[in-house]
This record gives sequence, C-alpha cells and structure tokens, in this order.
Amino acid sequence: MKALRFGWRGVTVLFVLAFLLGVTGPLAWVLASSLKSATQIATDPWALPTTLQWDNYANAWNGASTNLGRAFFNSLFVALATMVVLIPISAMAAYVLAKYAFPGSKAIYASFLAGMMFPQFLVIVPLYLTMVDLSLADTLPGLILVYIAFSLPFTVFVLTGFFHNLPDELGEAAMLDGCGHAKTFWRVMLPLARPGLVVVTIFNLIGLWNEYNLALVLVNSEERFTLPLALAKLSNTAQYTSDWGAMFAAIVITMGPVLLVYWLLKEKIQEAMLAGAVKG
Amino acid sequence: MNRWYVAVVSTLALALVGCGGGSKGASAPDVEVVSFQGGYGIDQFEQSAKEWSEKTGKTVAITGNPRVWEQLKPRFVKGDVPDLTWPGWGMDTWGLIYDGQLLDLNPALDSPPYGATEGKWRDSFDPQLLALGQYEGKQYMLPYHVNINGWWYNKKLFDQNGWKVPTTFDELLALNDQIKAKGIAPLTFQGQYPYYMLYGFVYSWAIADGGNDMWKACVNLEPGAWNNPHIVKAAQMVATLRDRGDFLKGSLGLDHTTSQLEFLKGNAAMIPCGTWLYSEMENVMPEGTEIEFMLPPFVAGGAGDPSAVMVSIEPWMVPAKAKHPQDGIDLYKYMTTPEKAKEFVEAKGTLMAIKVADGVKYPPHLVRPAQIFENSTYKWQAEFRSWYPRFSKAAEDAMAALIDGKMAPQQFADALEKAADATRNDPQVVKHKVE
Amino acid sequence: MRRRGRIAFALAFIAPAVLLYAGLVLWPLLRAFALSLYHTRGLSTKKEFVGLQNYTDLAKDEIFRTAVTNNLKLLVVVVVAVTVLGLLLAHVTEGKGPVAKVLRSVYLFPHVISIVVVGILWQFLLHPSIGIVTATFDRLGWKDQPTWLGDPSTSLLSVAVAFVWYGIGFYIMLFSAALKGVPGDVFEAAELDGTRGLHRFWTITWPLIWSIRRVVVVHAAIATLNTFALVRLMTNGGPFRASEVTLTYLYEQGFQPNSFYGYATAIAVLNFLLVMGVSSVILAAFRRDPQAVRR
Repeated sequence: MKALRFGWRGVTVLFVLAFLLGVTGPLAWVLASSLKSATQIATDPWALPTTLQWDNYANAWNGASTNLGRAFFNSLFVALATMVVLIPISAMAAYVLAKYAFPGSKAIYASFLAGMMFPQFLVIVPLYLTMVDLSLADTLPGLILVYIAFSLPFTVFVLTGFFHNLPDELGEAAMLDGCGHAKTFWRVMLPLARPGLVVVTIFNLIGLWNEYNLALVLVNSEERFTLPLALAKLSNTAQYTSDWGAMFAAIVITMGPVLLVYWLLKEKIQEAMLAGAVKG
Repeated sequence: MNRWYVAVVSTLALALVGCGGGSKGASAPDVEVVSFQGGYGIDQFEQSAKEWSEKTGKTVAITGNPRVWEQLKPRFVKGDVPDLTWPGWGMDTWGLIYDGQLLDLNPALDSPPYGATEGKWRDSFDPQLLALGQYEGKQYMLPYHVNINGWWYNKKLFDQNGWKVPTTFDELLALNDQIKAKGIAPLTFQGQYPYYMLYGFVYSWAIADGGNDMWKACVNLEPGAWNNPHIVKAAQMVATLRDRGDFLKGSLGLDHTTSQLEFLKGNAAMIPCGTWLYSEMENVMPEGTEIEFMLPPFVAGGAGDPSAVMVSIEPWMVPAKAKHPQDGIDLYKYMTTPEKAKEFVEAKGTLMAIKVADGVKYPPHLVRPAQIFENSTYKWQAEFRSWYPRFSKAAEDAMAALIDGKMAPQQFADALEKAADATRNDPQVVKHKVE
Repeated sequence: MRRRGRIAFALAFIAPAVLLYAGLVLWPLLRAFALSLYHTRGLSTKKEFVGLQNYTDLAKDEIFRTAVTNNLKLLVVVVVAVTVLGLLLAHVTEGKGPVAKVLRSVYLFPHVISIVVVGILWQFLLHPSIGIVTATFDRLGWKDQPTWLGDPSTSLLSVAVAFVWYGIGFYIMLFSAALKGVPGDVFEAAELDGTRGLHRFWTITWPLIWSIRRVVVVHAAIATLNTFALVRLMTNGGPFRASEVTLTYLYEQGFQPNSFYGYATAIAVLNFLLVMGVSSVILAAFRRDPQAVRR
C-alpha cells in the first residue's frame, strides 16, 4: 500500500519535472542559441555558447535583411498610441454603462459583450476593405484605430464591472459639492477605478505587443511592420541565409519585454486573464 | 483632468494627419512606375527611367517592393494606378484582364520602336513569348526577361567522378546507380512547392512522350486529355525514381531554398529548377560551386521534340486607367531597346524575351541555357497555373501524393482529369484556348 | 432639466467608444454577411451577386473539407490534452514544496509570449538540422524519426503539440482558480469518511469543478477552431494540405495571393457557424450537473 503510494508520488514528481523542462527548456535553448555562432548552432543544439556572440543582437536589431529596431519602435508607438485613446474612452463608456441607465444602454452593453464572442477573422476581409475605403490600409494610424476598436469589448467589460462596484453615494456627494457629471467622473470616480485601469492596461499592452492576425492583413510595407511581423519575416529569411543567431536574438528581443512585465506583475495579469475567461 | 482630453485629441489628430499611407509627393510625376523587386532588384529600371527622363524632359517616379501586388490591388480597386507596372508573381494578372483593368497594347506594338520613325515595336519581341500575354486577340502583357525551366546538375561532382550528363531516362537510371554508389542522392526537389516537380518531371516527360498536340489538348482541358497514357507514363517514371530511392530523403518537406541549398552543398547531384536558380542562391553559394543547366532527360522513342523547353515570362503592363499611358508605353519602349536588353543581361544574368544587341556577354551559368533557348524549336508553357488555380492546386496535391507513394500513376492521372473536368464545367472560370 | 443633462452627458461620454466600435467592428460584421453573397476578384469595383453560391461551392471544395477535418482533429487532441494535463498540473501548483513554487512562477510563460514566437520557436525546435528536439531524439537512438513539419503524417500533430505548449498555462490557471474555490470543509468531511487520493478526487473534486471544466473545454475548443498564426508559421498548412485549417485557407483565398473576398468571407462565416455549433454541442453535453447523476 505504502509502496504503491510512493510509486504514484515518484511518477508525479517525474511528470512535473518533465513539464518544467518542457516549459523552460525551449526558452533557455533560444537564449543560449542567441549567443552562439551560426556554425555552432548548426553543429550541436545541446552545446553551450563558447564565445558570446553579441553581434547576433546587433544583426537582428539593425541587420541587412530585417530591421527589428524599427519594428520595435513601431510596436511601441502603436501600443502606446492605442492605450492613450483606448483607456479614457473605454473608462468613459464603462462609467456610463455602469451608472447611467438610458434607453438603449443595455443593448450597447450587450453588443460590446458580443464583440468578445465572435472570431476576428469573421470581419477581417470587410475590415480590410473598409480600411482601403478610408485610405488607412497599410498605415500605422489605421492599425491603431483598429486596435482601439477591437480592444474595446474586453476593456469596457472589465471596467464596467469595476465602476459597478463603486458605491453610488460617492458620485452623488461629488455632485452635491457642485461638480458636474464630467468633473465627478474625472476627479472622483476615475481615480477610484485605478486598480481596474491597471489590470486592463497591462492586459491590453501584452495583447497588442503580441498581436499578429490583424497586423498581418492590415500592414504590408516593411517599414511599417510591427515586431511580430518583422520576426515572422526574419525567420523566413533566416531559413536560407542561415543567419540563425540573429533569428534567435530576434526571438529574445521580442519575448523579453513581455516576460519581464509578466514576472513583475504576475498577479495582476492572472486577474485580467481570469476576468476575460470566465465571461461566458 | 483636461490633460486626458488634450492627450486624446492631440494623439488622434497627430495619428490621422501625420504619416499617412499614400505618400504623394508635392508635384505628381509625369510617369509612375511600380515594379516587383525580387532577386534582380530595380536598379536597372531606375537607370533606364533616369536616362529616359533626361531624353524626354519628363519626370519619372519608380518604386519597387517584394510584395508589390499587396500595394497594387487596392490601387486597382480605387482606380489610382501607375502608368507602367510589373506586378510580380503574386498578382492575378489574368483577373486584371477579365476585369478590364489593363490596356490593349496592340496599337503600341504596331507603332515604331523607341526613337525610330518606321518599323514595328512588335518585332523586338520573340513572337512565341509575346503570344503568352494575349487574350482574345488583344495584347495585355509584354514580356521582359524570360526564364526557362529544366534541371541543374552539379558540374564539379560530375567532372570529379567522370559522370556524363544523361540525355535519356535510361541513361539517367544508370547514372543514378553510380551516384548512389558514392553515397550521394541523385535528385532532390522543392517538396513544399510541387509545381517544380510537375514542370521538371511530369509535364516534361509527358510532352517528350506524347508530343505537342497532346500538350495542347491538356492546356485546353479537352476531355480525356489529362489521364491519357503519356501522363500516366510520366507519372510512372517519377514512381520508378521514387521506388529506386533516387530522391534525397525528406525532400518532400523542403522548401525551395533549402532543397536548392542541399543541391549546392553536393548532397544531391541534380535538381529541377528554372534559370533563376543562380541569382536566387548566389549569396549562399558555397565556395567553389560549379553548377550547370540541362534539359530533363528525354524519353527514348517519344513523339515529342527533343529540343522542347518550358518557358515562363515576367510580364509588364499598362493599367487601363493610367493617367499617362502613352508615357508609360514610351518608357517601356526605351527599356526594350536592344542596348538596354544587353545591359540587363550583363547586369543580371538572365535570358530576355526581346532582341538583345550584338556582342552580348552571357555570364558563365547562362551560356548553356542561352544555347538551349536559341536552338529550341518548341517552347511550351504552363500558364494555366494562373488561369485555373483550382486545377493547379489539385495537380500539385496529386504530385505530392504521387512522390510520397500515396498515389499510383494511374490514380494520379485520374485525379488530374477529375480536376480538369471540374474546371471545365465551372461556369465562373474564364476559359482559355491556345492554338 | 437635470434629467436631460444626465442623458446628454451619458450620450456624449459613451459616443467615442460606440462610434469607433460601430464603425470598425459592427459595420464590417454586417458587411461580412453581405460580402459572402458576392463574387469578386478584388481587382476592381466589379462584384457579382451570386446568392449562396460561395457556400455551395465550399460544400464541394475538398480543400475546405480537409481543413475542417483538420480543425476537428486538432480540437479533440488539444481539448483532451489540456483538460487532463491542466488539471493534473493545477493540483501540483496547489502544493507547498519548492517544485510547486517554481511551477507556479513559470507555467504561464508560454502563454504570455507572442503566438508568433511560439510558432517560430516550435518550427526551430523541430527543425531537421538545428532543432534541439530532433537532435535529442537522434541522440537517444531514434535514427529514422520523421521530419516533423515536413511529413504529412506528423505535421498536424506537431502543430497540436505546439498549441498545447502554448495554451496549457492558461488552463492550469483556470483549474487552480477552481480548486482554490473548493471549500475546505468538504475535504475535512471526506477525511472523516476515510476517502483519500484518487478516490477523493473522483468523488468530490471532479464533480465540484464541473463548471470550470465546461469553461475550459469551450474555451479550448473555440481557440483551436480559430487557429491561424501557429499553423501559418509552422507549416503554412502543408505539406500538401496535411495541416491546413479553415483560417489558413481563408487567408489563402482572401489575401495570399488571391483576393476572392466573397469566397474568403464565406469561409469566415462557416468557421463562425462551426464555432457556434461546436460550442452548443459542448454546452449541451455539460448541461446537467453530474452531481445530480451520481447520487
């Protein structure tokens, strides 16, 4: 009986160790490979780098085939510009949906909820055509507008929940003090919703940093590539230029910031993910 | 509080005003050229444009892009088009023709060539290749450089081992045994893109065995054309190579560059490919590589023309809604003068669909293809790949299945016939008839 | 007056979000259903109304059928794998030892890095000449292992493995949230009954986390049916369609290099219906709380 239980334990421990290796191994391999020379990468995947090839990073960042540096700044610009617009307008909308019932407000809320349900690809062709009509296809402003629109459902949903939980009395007190509706929102309610704002900001930033599908369809000039597009292209060219080192360096550059942010803000991120998952 | 407002409004304003997409210069150029930018770059076209501009006093704006069709498609939809374009392999040029988006260039072809007062521009082009750009008697596309398809072999390996280039299938089989004895794979192929195998193996051998009329019936999708005995025989030849283990292991999973690299490294002795292989792989060619072009080994006793060679053109065109179509045409006339053609050959190492000035020096890897092209009395094409994309997809899938051993030769031919039948009976597909 | 001010404020405040959302999400959504009834080459303003023909063509389209089949195969493998592995590992994260601690901090890594990174990473892990996975198998003496992504019999499986690697952390998180929610006194009662280990799991935990299992299965099913980037980057649907999924086929028909917008949109609509259909089936299967059955 005891032996059997110990056997189970052993199996479990082995299984968990295998899983840990499965998760961290590939990431460690990428990190190690990003500091190896192309020949070393091709000869023995298990070997550790002999001399650290920091050149790989320079080649990836500003190489002949792909300019990851530019893509990095494109991604940064797109993500920040999106957030600067998205957060205030979502907060405004969420506040209204939580605290101001008016004819049709339920329908609006429902339509935002529906937006979290349907697949992006359902609208991707007409979306592209709409952007062509607006002369915004293949432009970063166009991509930013699309990102804002597509991030609204989730952001509004989470923030509505937050505003809903703030007591009505706070707003009423502010109104009695002579603040208008708008002033009440900016001065009193928005600061109180800060935890919610932090959650949606982090969650959206990670999502935007990683976004591929919409960018792939809406952006096709290389100088406007975001990081995922540039990385995908680089991996494609690495196939025949055999510049493996630069490619692994590019992977590290792409995933580094996200892993760092995740490491610092684990709880917040999990909170946001759970909020999004249990919406059904 | 108001900081938010200011931030939002100013960002939106900045975003919408600044860095817009269609970067239009202050003054529009007289001629706008948009070109595919592949292995040959666009520097030669830029040079021509500069010279033409100096001669005529008109301004030219020329841009290139490796995925140029993605930019061109929305422009065609909006009617904001360049005056001259080479839209690259990703553009459905036949679709442009069906939708009335291209100009008929017959009148221009009947006018004199650049800088002349008599003669016809038409005579600058190889007539067989010019015909590839026609539809219903109108000329929509004009070829510039041309690729021929065949095989490449590793000359260094062949010389070292005293191997002779095989001219018939039987010679090929005998040679393959010698190659395998050296521990080298006789053949590899671009497994992820099965049309390389269709062109280099099946179509080539079916034509060698069945002749020109058989091929015409196939191209015209005539009933029973695609599962005729010659197609089955060609498929059987591929199956023979497969069963003898003459293909490099794992070739099916390779893309074009990887398989070509395997060939260049000497891991396989031969590979089917077009004349572009050299310029495509130039940057990664191992030191001291010597490769040479050859025609696919012929089928002994076949009804076909032993000099038959497959050609494909890289066409230029003038959009129907171009603002200055005549200037676009004139610039292209200048690009197609024999001197310019000569410069292009010497700079890029490619064959041309237009007359080249005398005394042209072909780069070493092109000497043999130029001879083959010159001496060929039958140039065939597989343009139906863009006419009938569904049929071609089915053919490619069947090709991969055949080479993978999942299909027998007869099944392969039947699959092609079935796909041809579906295309033939599909009222939406515009049909082409070659004479 | 006050009341009207309220409404005016509400409308003004909600307007920017609603306008952007309506213009760039809802409007294209309506356009999608209309567009799928047309034929277009996307090369001019020409478009021809064809009614349901795109749909009838798709019904006959063998590639589309292959893609749907592949989608469903992926779905089954991924759903089973993430449910089983996710639940097992979630149990481990609840532990107190150092292993549990390490596990807690890394299990979400694969899920927060971009799906593009995951696709490329797995492409190179399985690469025949530089991949560490292939090299490891080789060292262990598996001399004729398949070229994972280049072999039609293994390419879809490779995608599934990458998908599970990417998604598993998320489902571990969901399960562990659910396990935290199992009230402690239930276990205390079980201890008194002498119910332990696997038996305890089957009789108590499994029924109690029924609702989160439903969430996991639905979520994983939808995510699988919407697979695109992973397949595009790892195999591009190949070799010869062995790993084609509906969305990679949609992309080919709509953007790369064709532009049959009507046909591509019809694929999108059918994919959406497939998602709805599969979700309904799963929800129906989970309709009854199993605790009611076991008594």
